[in-house]
Amino acid sequence: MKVLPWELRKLRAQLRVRVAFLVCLLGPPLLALVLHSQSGLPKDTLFGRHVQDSGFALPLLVLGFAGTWGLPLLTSLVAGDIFASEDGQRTWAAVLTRSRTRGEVFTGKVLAACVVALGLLVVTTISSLLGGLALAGNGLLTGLSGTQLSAGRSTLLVLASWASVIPPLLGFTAVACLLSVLTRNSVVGVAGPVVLGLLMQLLSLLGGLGPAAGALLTTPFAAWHGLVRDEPYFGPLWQGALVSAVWIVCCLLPARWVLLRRDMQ
Amino acid sequence: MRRVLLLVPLLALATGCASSLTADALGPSFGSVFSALYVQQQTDVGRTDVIRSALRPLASCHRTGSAPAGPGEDWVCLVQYVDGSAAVAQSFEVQVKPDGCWKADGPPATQPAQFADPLTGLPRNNPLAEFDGCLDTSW
Repeated sequence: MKVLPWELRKLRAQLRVRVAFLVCLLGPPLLALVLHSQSGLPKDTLFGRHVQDSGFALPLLVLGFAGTWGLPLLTSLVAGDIFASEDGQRTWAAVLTRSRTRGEVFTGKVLAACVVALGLLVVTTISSLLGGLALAGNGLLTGLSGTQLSAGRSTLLVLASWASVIPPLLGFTAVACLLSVLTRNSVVGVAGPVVLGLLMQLLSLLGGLGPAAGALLTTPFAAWHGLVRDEPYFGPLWQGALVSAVWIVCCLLPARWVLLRRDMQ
Repeated sequence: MRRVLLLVPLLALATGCASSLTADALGPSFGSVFSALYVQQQTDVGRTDVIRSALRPLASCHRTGSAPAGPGEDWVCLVQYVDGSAAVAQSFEVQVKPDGCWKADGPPATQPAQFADPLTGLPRNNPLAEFDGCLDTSW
């Protein structure tokens, strides 16, 4: 556990991490400004047609976008680099001379990547909700069941929807950590999960996968569709949590195995 | 890499037939969303006597193309309902996306994008001109 604060301190000093937080903080209000200044609506994305009617539509619109490529990119910015940067700067020797085992260093780094990913998610949630409310006020939201949802219920549903992407987000964190360990290359670690996410999106867009699409790590990003309605269904949520857990285990175990047995000079 | 590329179409072939995006799943979903939005639309035009449970909507959907199920832009849904004493039927073009969500387009003649608010005369968006819904695609 002692490694975590150190890793977080190292990350806090990185320009890239600061910029990521800034983008998450300012992106949604900027989108609200753009939508405010034009008459057209992003109708092709869910809740796009409602952004002028209810402030709760914007955070859901942003969530729809974020799942496709934004969230994998945000988490791999940190996780894809967190092991490889020690290789790039040849600092493994210095890190491992501390009185911490390799296993502890591995756990600390993975936890630090998770903390940053969750932090970015929380910032985006709050800024998109506030941006939406500033754009359109707290009017009734027309949910995916066609019924109108009260402001209190909508707030809860927006928060629950954003919370529902935590499992696949951490799944992509694990993928990025694995690539970072295996390739010792920050570029592959950061870009790899993004490309993988886009490939998975493409596969599910082709539509021929049927139930097998449920095994993709991008599918759980859409599990919130079952929540924003009168009578919610939770099947996609449980399935997404299970699928993400399998991805996390299948990425972190080999990453740890490789790191523990690697010859570090 | 070549093996992985071979695996993708095989996987698609093996599972493509068992799509959960079927007419039996889309019909009830469409009918339910339609009835909720119909009540909203009628309330918007000043009617207060429309009750959702009294509409008794019955929707049936089918694809106009060759495939009977799955995602596509060629779905059509016909919804029948009872308004007051009259039985009414309306037909919508529906686009079903691979993620299980669908988007319905009303016929422009009967469901224009906007209509005039009965009190103020200002244009209001018609909730039935275009609307979305989602199906549960989990295992």
